[in-house]
Amino acid sequence: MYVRPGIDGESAESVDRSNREPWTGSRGAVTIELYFSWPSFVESLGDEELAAEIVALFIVEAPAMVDRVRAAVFGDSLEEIRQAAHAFKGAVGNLTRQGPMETSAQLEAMARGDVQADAKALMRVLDEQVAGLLNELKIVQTPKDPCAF
Amino acid sequence: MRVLIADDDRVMRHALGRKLASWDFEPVPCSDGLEVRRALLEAPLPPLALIDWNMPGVDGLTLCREIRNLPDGGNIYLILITSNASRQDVLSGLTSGADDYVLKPFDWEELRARVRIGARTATLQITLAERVK
Repeated sequence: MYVRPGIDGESAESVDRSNREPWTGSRGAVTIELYFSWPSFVESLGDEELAAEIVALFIVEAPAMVDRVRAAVFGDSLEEIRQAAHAFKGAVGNLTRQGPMETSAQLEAMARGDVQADAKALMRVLDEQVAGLLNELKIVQTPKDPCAF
Repeated sequence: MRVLIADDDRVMRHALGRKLASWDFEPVPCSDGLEVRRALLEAPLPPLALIDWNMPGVDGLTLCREIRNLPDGGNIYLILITSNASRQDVLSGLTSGADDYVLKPFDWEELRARVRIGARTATLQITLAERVK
């Protein structure tokens, strides 16, 4: 889960004003799930230990997969974009069907010629979404060595 | 029962292996098509295989066709796994020799049910083939 202070409900500013003391960062904190819900993920797998292993592995594997997509986008090879985006879509789909999965699907569709889109703009969106997802995952990640499995 | 898993995605391979083991199957993981070819040469054919469509080197469709051409390859229950969801993709997958087609991301309970159907079908197929010999 991704925790961001002062969003929704009482803002950090209003908390600060009502208490007449500086905001410390802990008040008004709300939990935000951008793309990933740990309880839903565990429920879908039916195995909390496996869920933690998948999260740990994805954190290790995802950067190289996204690098491959980026290299393809900036290399202007449609077939490589299609393959790399498809591979990442499959991998990230284990964890979320929103955000990064949708954007990689758009990149794949663009590379197949199904839709017109700006690949570099989509890549920027994908980078931001993956960064957000990885932040969420690192918070739920248990201290396991992904090389152990 | 041994179940071959062919997927270049390490996360997916791990998840499939763990789930299959928890369902009392013996997973045989392979990271690409070339590894599948080696595995098929080195050991008896597994009764059931889960094969990813998109893999580097040798793709899943090619593997399905190759397995069907092996002696006893007709007895293996082949499940193609992919996120290619269009009608044409499904038709291409099933005409390549796959017995079933499962979309990613998985509904794990649905996959479990399909794997059980595959195991039952493969067992019947092998029993029949032995009787005919």
